[in-house]
Amino acid sequence: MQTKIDIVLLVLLLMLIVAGVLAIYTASATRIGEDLHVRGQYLRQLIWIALSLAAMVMLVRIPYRILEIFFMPMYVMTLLLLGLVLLFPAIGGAHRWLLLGPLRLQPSELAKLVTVLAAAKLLSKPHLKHGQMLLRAVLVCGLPAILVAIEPDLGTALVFGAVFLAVLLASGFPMLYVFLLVSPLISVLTVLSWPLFVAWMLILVLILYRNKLTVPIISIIGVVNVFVFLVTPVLWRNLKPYQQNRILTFLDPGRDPLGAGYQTLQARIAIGSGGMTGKGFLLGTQKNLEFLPERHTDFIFSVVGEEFGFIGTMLLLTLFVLLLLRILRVIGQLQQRQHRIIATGVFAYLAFQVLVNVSMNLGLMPITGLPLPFISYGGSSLMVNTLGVAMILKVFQEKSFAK
Amino acid sequence: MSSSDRTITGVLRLFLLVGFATLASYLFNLQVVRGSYYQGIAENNYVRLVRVPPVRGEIFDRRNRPLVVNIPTTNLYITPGRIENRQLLTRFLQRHLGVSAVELEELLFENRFNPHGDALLFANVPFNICVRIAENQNYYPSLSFRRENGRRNLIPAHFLGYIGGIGEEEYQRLAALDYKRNEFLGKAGLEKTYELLLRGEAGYEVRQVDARGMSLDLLRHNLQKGPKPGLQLMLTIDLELQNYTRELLSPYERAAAVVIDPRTGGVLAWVSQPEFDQNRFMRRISNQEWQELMDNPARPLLDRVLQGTYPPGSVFKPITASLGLERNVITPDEKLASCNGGMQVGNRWFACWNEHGHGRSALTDAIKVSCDVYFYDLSSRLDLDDWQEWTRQNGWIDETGIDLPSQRSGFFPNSDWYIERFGRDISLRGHKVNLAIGQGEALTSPLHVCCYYAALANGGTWRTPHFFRKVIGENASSVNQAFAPEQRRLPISERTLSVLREGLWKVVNEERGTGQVAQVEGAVVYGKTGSAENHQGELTHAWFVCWAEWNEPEIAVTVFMENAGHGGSVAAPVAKQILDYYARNMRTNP
Repeated sequence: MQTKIDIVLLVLLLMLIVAGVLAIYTASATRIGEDLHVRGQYLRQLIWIALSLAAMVMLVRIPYRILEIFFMPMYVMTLLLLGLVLLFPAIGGAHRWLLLGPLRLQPSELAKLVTVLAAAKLLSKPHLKHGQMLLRAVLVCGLPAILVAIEPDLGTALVFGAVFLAVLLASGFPMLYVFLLVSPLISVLTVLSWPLFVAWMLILVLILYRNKLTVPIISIIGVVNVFVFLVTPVLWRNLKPYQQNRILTFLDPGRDPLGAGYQTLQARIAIGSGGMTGKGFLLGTQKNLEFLPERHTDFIFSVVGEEFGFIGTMLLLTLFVLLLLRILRVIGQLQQRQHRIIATGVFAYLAFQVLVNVSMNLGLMPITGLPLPFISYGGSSLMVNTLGVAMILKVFQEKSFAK
Repeated sequence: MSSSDRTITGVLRLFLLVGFATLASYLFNLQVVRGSYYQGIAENNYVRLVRVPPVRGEIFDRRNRPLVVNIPTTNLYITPGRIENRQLLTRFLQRHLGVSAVELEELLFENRFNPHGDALLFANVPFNICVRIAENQNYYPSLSFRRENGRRNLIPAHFLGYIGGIGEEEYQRLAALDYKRNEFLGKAGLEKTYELLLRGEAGYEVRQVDARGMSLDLLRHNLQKGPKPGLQLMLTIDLELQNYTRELLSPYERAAAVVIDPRTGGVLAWVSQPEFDQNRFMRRISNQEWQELMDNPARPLLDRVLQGTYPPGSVFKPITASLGLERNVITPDEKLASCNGGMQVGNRWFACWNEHGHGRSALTDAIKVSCDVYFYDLSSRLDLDDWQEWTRQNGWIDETGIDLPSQRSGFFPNSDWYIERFGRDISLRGHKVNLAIGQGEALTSPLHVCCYYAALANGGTWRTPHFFRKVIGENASSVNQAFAPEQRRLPISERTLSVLREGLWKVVNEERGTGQVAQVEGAVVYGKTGSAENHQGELTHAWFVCWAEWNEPEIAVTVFMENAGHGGSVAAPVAKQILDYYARNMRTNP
């Protein structure tokens, strides 16, 4: 058996993991004056890194056709775990963790990868009609999304949306149809301004017309979009005040600096005050003085921004971009549909989480509770993300046997 | 690989790059373009300017014995915005501190615009109550204790005054002088007059705090402006004489005594009876306590030396006499109407205090025996308006300018005053008869009287009475900087002065003088008795004013007792004891 590994991808992965340990170390440290106090989170993360790398090595060594057998059983088991997690006591208002002695496992993290694998299995069957494809994709992504949304963990549920679009695209579903599926979402976003909506509708109709769709289909799509546009304000009015507040606070964090907007504002201050070169390793004042919430998890990017400045954030983002571009390059080389679906799915949820998490740190998106892959503290997330990349390494290795 | 697959990776690559480019541009704007702006905010986040209140200057007597000192106290503050259960809190405060629901309501209403500031709820909380409140403090997050400097008056003397929390009106007026809400300031007495000297200057500390506002003690030592303590105040008061005088007056229900050094105007002792413990005002005084003080018929809050205005009675006679001499309507040797126990003026009989009569007297003898008839007769030769002006010029009406707040002026009527009250055709004759002996509408305070006699003792030079001797400590200023006593010549000639002094000498030193009790061995004592009739009771107010000279006049004493009887028999013995005490204990030990 030839073990051909994409060394570049592996090195990028390891660099990100090392960056993550450094970030978690400083995020869990409090340095006041000469007095340095470090909590043990980085040590636990080191153990998880060791476990994840070991799992990755094992996974790469197992033949693909054996792995493939476990895709669907794993998926079913994960769905059961997602159901089970709802029975565990809530932590911080959400039923997100399975408590196994000292371990806290997050099945929703596992679900991301497993869903991609199940989708690959289901959507790579030959001779599927478009309708069948859509139905399978909706089912395979929808079930975990709903269970996760119940926890509630809206951010993670959205990840399944990104996975859904990615696996559809990768399995050969026409891009135009994907575009049509997304179009109502864009209509919702245009709700704030009439002219924007009109312009968007013109573009939509033009695209449909250019692709030679029939008039009835164009009109159905048009009606759906107009309907969504009209209904959104009604739905808004039916939202509870706290829900409206959460969205309004996202739009303008300054309106409630000590309440809902506090985290966003403090994160923005942390990143902004880092300046070009940052305040130095361990020296972030926002972090040390605990102005910054969730320092080692959701807002770890702010710690990086504060202590390493623009240079640090750009380095980190560049690492991510290189990793994701490398994955895209791998996807381009894959021959089999199943492999492509796996790689694209993993790409989708990694890219989605990075973009959403960084946007959230910058105050560009509402706070959703999505971790930054490889950087945020959390064993389940690290393990699953590493295994995701390992799957890509695995299918890249497999392509040599395909022909 | 199909072309559509290539398109897919192309689209994903496009999405990815657009997404990251957007984030990068935001980061550039946030960190590079607006970096210094956010650095400023981050610093504001953790840097707090903390005000460090100064230590108030203490007050000492003329020989450095403390009168008012600072003591550590525990004050209870309330933060209205953090009240969780108002009902429970009200009951809790009622039980442990006796703060009624209404009082709490008022306090919260006063602070309604400042819900996150602390308001002083109870000053000087006793230790055992502190403990009981602290035990339950987690149920009442709105309550907090602060260890602060409290104030303690070591003797209950009216002139010391007291400090209290700044009121809304005072705050509006004084905010420019760096006064803060919850700050204490002098509310009465010397504490109020010398507020700015005693107060000192607040310092500021830059402290680094964490997200919960806890100080980290980092910048504390290198970035601070220390507070400047207030100046220590040395008074002209002599604590021993003060205490001795208090003791002498303590048997009397309502009385006053003031001792002045005529050479300087400095007050040596100042007692108003009944006294009250001003320290009660520096705790939170309960409504009941306040009501008791207000309802007490002896009016303990009144400083009788300063604010009591009484008919002066016979101690006023030198004013009448000196006006007669100065206007040349009498000569010192001229004998006026014969006293046979009284005098008929118009259709009314005006009695002399001595029903057996004094016969005909010249001026100094009339003063010696305090013959009323002499002055009745004299009054007919005086012009009322001129008389009022004369009284004013001799310092019996206007405020003395002493370094205490809220003095009352004396009163002496003029003809307009009577016309306004009784109509044009009023006859002033009878009123003048009364005024001549310090009765009728004439009113004055013991302080006014004492200052006048001190001026007579001092060769006719009137000096502003004062407590201020000097400040002790850094940047000490002398009396002239902080308090400038005036001195002016009474409007009397040397001749008139010597006649008055002769009369006053006779009062104490000659046979039949009304104040012979006040003789002191080795000293020359001058004095005047007074027994002022009044509408407060059957007994007259007893007055005795005197001064003692050795080589020069050293001490002037005024003793006044409400409704206690005759000045010569009641007030004079007390004054004599004060003079004796001074002669025995203080002359050897100046």
